[in-house]
This record gives sequence, structure tokens and C-alpha cells, in this order.
Amino acid sequence: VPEPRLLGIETEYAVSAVAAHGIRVGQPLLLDTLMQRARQRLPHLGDDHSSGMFLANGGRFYVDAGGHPELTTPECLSPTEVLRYVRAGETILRGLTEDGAPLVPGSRTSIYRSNVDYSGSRATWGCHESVMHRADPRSLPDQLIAHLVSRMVFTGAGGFDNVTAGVKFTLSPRATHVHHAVSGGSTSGRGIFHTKNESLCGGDYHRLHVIFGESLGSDLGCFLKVGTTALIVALCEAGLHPGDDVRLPAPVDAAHLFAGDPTCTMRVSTLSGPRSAVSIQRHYLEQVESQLDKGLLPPWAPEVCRRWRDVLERLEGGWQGVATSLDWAIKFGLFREHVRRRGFVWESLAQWTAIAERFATALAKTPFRERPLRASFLRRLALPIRDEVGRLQLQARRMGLDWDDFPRFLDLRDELFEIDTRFGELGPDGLFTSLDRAGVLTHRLVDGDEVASAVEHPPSVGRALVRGRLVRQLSGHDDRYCCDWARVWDCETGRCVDLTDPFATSMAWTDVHPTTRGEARPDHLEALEQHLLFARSRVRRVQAGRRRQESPDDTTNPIELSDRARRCRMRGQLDEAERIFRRAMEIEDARVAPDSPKRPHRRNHLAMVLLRAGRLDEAKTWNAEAWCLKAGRHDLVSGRILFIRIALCLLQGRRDVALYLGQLKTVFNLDPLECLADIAVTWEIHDVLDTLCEHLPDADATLLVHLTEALNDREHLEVLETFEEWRTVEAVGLEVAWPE
Amino acid sequence: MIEWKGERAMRERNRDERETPAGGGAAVPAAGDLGEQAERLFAAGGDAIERALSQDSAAFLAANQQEGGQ
Repeated sequence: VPEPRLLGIETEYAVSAVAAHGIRVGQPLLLDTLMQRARQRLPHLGDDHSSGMFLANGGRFYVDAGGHPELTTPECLSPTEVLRYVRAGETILRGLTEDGAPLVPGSRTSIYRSNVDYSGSRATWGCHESVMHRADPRSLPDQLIAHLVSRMVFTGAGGFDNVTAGVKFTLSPRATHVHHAVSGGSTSGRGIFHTKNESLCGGDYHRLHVIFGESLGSDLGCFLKVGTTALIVALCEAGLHPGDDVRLPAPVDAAHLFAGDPTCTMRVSTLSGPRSAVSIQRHYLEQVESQLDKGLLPPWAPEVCRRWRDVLERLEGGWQGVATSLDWAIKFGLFREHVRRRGFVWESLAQWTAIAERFATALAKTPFRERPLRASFLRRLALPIRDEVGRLQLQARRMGLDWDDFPRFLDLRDELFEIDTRFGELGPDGLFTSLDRAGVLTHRLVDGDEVASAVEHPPSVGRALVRGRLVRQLSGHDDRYCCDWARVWDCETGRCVDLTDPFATSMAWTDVHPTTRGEARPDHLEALEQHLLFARSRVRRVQAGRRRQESPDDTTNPIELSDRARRCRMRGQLDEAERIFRRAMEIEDARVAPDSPKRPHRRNHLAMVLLRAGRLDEAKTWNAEAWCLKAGRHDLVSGRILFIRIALCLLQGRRDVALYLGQLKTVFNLDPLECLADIAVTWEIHDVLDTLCEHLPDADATLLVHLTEALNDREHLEVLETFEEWRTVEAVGLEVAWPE
Repeated sequence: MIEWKGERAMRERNRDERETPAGGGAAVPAAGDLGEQAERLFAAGGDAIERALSQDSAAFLAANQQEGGQ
């Protein structure tokens, strides 16, 4: 009988809260409140390694990198059990946000089971699988990479490439963010095979950590994702080589090709000739099936193989065969239908994408480089790239497209992105959930009762059972007990319940840290190790407590605060931006010299926030103060202050800006034009430009756009010469005082 | 100055089409070809999408902006 194999999934969720008038609640506040509510409502023990917690079902809940709430299942014995605990995690999260008062008063919190951001940030976050094994980790990449690349035909979440300016459907949105075959990176430089091998337990176990995958609504997809991968690992553990014949010479290219092919028929080179993703999966399935009666595989293997074979047979008949059961195919059908309803032909999206990408490439050389391509901003975005737009109009005509449909295409793009995001929304409003409720999907493998039980109870076998019971028993004594994957600690006595054996069953408290399995150590080393572990635990406990108490504004670093305020400004959270800027200035003013170049820089920044908020008089006051503080020490920031002055005057309907334009000309003539405040030399103010473009006549807005470009790159001064008001203005000395 | 002819009108037309779905899209497989289940899915999906979509998808996406994780 093969040894039980422990499996699990870590899911990072997207979370946001929106208050009245579409105002977004700050992420630090939201996450802080979410964790606070979790601590109030859920039986838990504090996590020894973070400000998160371990739960009574044996799982873990914390906030991971990038501000994503993450739920990790306990260690499970089968793919079905993993699935049950993934759904239990979703139920727990929903309970925290839906039951009772809103998390943040006056706002609505939404949680999304998704992996990419479509706002223009190009961000991605993960859903990782863990498979415990005893195979040689060095042997795994060769055997597994072809599987990880091709399994997306049933594990892909579907969606869109969130990097392109156009619309590119993808079976696997994470494929866009994979750039290496093998890598240890998980937040950048991601690989198909992740080399992390942190067992989180003793003995000779390893943990395969799969980061190339997505969160799924489909039970069938999630079941197969975990089950097929674990079975292939089991073959490797038995010394077999299931991936030898299908090794890929160019795995990253293969991943990108398969991701863009909803027909699942495109072939890539393998060591045994060209194969499609389905064909590669067929190969792995046959390898596993050939071992079904050899006693190597876990008891759930036949069920996985049966469903695996069924899905591959369906896929061989086209995506329609899985159109109601797998995430990517469900979405593919819905997206195509939506595109048709909006009067577009699906195939034309590729042509529009080519246009959009060229538009974005041209935009990348302007101050709007960070601006998402949106229909509502199109006219403004085109201001600095008029020539290129002219060429694109011709290209569109040659493709048989009506250029006037370009804004409609961009609107459609945003709608498709919204649909994809809402597809994974947890709760009754989510598209997947509502379709499931309507009975039009055929994916379900676990029922509500099983999930409800998994919310409360740990799995029946393995250390998670001990952990879950201890959490329930000790919850409420968070100040004394804490937990990590391998131990439950009594911080008062220094004793622990040892869970380094993944199949530990004992709840006994022990003074001495047991050696890892099979190892014998001298007593004094054991005692020393125990002592060190305990000391480290205490330190972490104190640190975690501090982190828990920290509020988002606790930093006293004005640069960090200012950066946070700038991000708020760009998101349109102007009240928050103003508050944080003022705090940054207050702290900084007390620390720096009266003539520090930071002072005018921050004041001008505050003026920008106020400009965006329409509080022009206040903005002018701060802007003027910034100018006064520059006296005699002019640099790039002087140019930015003058720019804001000109913008404010124009917004107030005043045309007498010759003085400021003239002084700006003088600033441009400074050689060298220094940057004294140690700030970013590229000025990212697309949000401010949006405001200006919205409220100013085109001629003024265009001039300001080009002034910004020149401030970022003096080579652009040539273009400014085409503007009469710039060409004709005389340079003015910087000592000339501004009028009251 | 570059302008998109009737930009606003087109955006409004786009919104109007939500109430009255346009025909066309010859390249999309006929619903009948996809089987009864898929047909039911598209019908339910179309309705659910129209209910779920905000009036301003760009604003929705901006309000839900996320930072990168693992």
C-alpha cells in the first residue's frame, strides 16, 4: 500500500471595497479590518511567521505579498479533499465580508477568485499547489514541465492577456507572466517549474510547489489540476520517467502558444515529435494508467484517470465539449457570445489588437505612458501622437475596419475585462456562482454539506487533524499560544506540540524538540536546538504582535508616506492623498533643513492633489510657497512648479501665463538642469494631465502635455517650438517675483 | 486636432445595445451546434452578464486595482 500523499493549495484572492460615488477604500485599512474581523470571529491561533493565523480546520489565513488575503488548505489526502477545503476557504472569506455589518462602514467589499489585474497595473497573483513527495527534486523539472505547460487545457482559468493593449484570449492568464522554464522566483522572473523546496516538515520529504496555475471555479478543473500533477509526481517518486518522451525544447514558447489556442490543436516540438497539448496529456495519462495496478498509486488514482481521460476525449472534439465544465471554456463561450452581442466579430479582435498595440507603443514615448488605453481618454491620449494616429487610421482602413469603431472596441475590451473579473467574484453576485445556481454548469464534485464540514473541521488524517483540534482548544489564548506548520507553541513554557512528522497524531506537549525522523543526535544538541527554536518563536511572536498593532499610517518615513500619497492621488483617492501628504510634510519639515529641496517638492505635490480636487485657490497657495522655497536653488522641480502654476492659471481662465512660460524657458536653459531633491527624474502625472485635458480647451491641454514631455526629456523642446505661445515668449529671470 | 466622429454617440449606442442585442458575428458558431447545454449556458450567461456589468467598466476596473502578488 503506498504511503499517503499530502496535498494542498494556497489561494491568493483579490479584494477591494468601494464606498459611495465609487470611492475606493484604502487597501491597508480594508485588509487590516478584514484580519481584525477574522480574529474576532474565527477560532484561531496566531501564526508564528506572520500577522496571520491558523484556523480550526487546520488551514492558514494571512495577508500575502501585494495585499492579497491568502487561504491555505490544511494538508489533505486526496484531490477531492483539497477541493473541499478550497471551497471551505471561499466560504470562510465570504462569511467575513457578507455576514453582519460592512467591513468598512458605508462600503461594499468584493472578493475575487482571479489571478490578474485588468486596470492597467499588469499585476498577477497566485494559486499554488503543494505536493509532498520523496522523489529527487532535481529529476522533477524534466519530467513535469511538459505536464505543467500542457495541463492548461483543463486547468486554465481562461481570461485575457493583461499586458497587451488589445484583447487576447488566453487559456491561462498566468502564462503571460511566465518567462523561464525553471526559476526560484515567485513574484518576478517566474518559471514554469518553481524550484522552491521547503518541506515544512521533518524527515526526507520534499514539497513540490507549483506556481504556474490559476484559481478555478470549476470543481472538475481543480480536482484534475491537483490529481494529475500528484500522480505524475508519484511516478517520478517510483523512479519512472513519465515525461521523457514529451520533453519540450522550448517550454516557455510552448506555454505561450498553448495559452493562445482555444482549439487545443496547435502542436509544438517534443522529443517524440510534434504534439498538441492534448496529445502530451494523453501521453502522461497513459503513463499513469499503465501503473494503476502496480500498487504505486494512491487509492484515488483510478477516479482521477477516469475523469482525465473523459476530459481529453471531449477536448479532442473541440472546446465545446467542455464548454459547461471547465473555467476557460465556459468563459470562452460567454466572451464570444458577448462580443457578438456588441456587434463585433470575434476574429476582428485580433486586428483591433494590432491597432491598439501600435497605439500603445506610440503612447509609451509620451507622458501618458502609464495611462491605460480607454475609450473615454482616447482623444486626449492621441494629442501627443497625432502623426501615428493618422497612420493607424490608414492601417485600419486597409484592414477593412471602420476607425470610428476603435473607441467601441476599447469599451468592449473593458467590458470583457470586467466580465472576467466578475466571473470569479465570490458570493451570489459572481457570474460563475450565478450560472452554477441556474444549473447550466456541469462541473460539481463536492456538495455544500461537505464544504460546510470543512469550514469547521480538519481532515481526518495527518498532522492537520492535531493542529485543527489544538487551534479549537486553545483559541482565545492568542497571547500564549501560537502556531506554524510544524509546531504549536506554548510561548509561556517553551513547550511545543511537535508536528514535524506530517502524519503526527500526538497532541502531547514536549520539552525537547524531537529529532527529525531517522536521525539520532546527542542530547545537548537536541536541547540546544529546542532552545533556539523556542527563542526564535518568542522573537517572532513579539514581532507579529507589533505588526498586528501597526496601522497603515504608522510609518514615519516621509518618503514612504509621500509615495503612498502619490499612489492615492493617481487612483483618485484625493482626500486620502491630501491627508497623507500633509502628514509627510509635517514629519519631514521637522527633520530637514529649512532650505531642503524636499520642502518645495512636497508642497508642489500637494498642490497637484488640490488641483485634481478642483481646489484651485488652495493649490495656488501651496504652489506659490513651493516657488518661494526654491529661491536661488533652481532645478528640475522649479520647472514642475512652474508647470503647475501655468496649469492652475489656465484652469482659472486666466491667459496671462507669459511670465511663467518665460521662467520655464529659463529653467530649460539651465545647464545642467539638476534634480536636487533626489526624486524620480521622470514625472508620472498622467492623472493630472487627465484632469487638465478634461477641463481645458484642446489647445491648452496639448501645450501642457508637450510641456510635460519636455520636462521629462529636453529633446522634446523641439516639438514645443511648434506652439506659437511657447515660441514667441521671452525667457524671464527666475528672480522675478510672481504677482500676488 | 484628431477627433473620433460621433464618439459620444457611439458610446451611447454601445450602451443602448445592452437592452437590444445586435445580431451579426457570423464567425461565432451557431448556438445549436454547441448542444443544448451550451445553449442554455449562453442564454443564462448573457442575462447574468447584462445584470452584472457596471455602467462604466473602466471605472470598475480602476476601483478594483490590485497589486502584484506571488
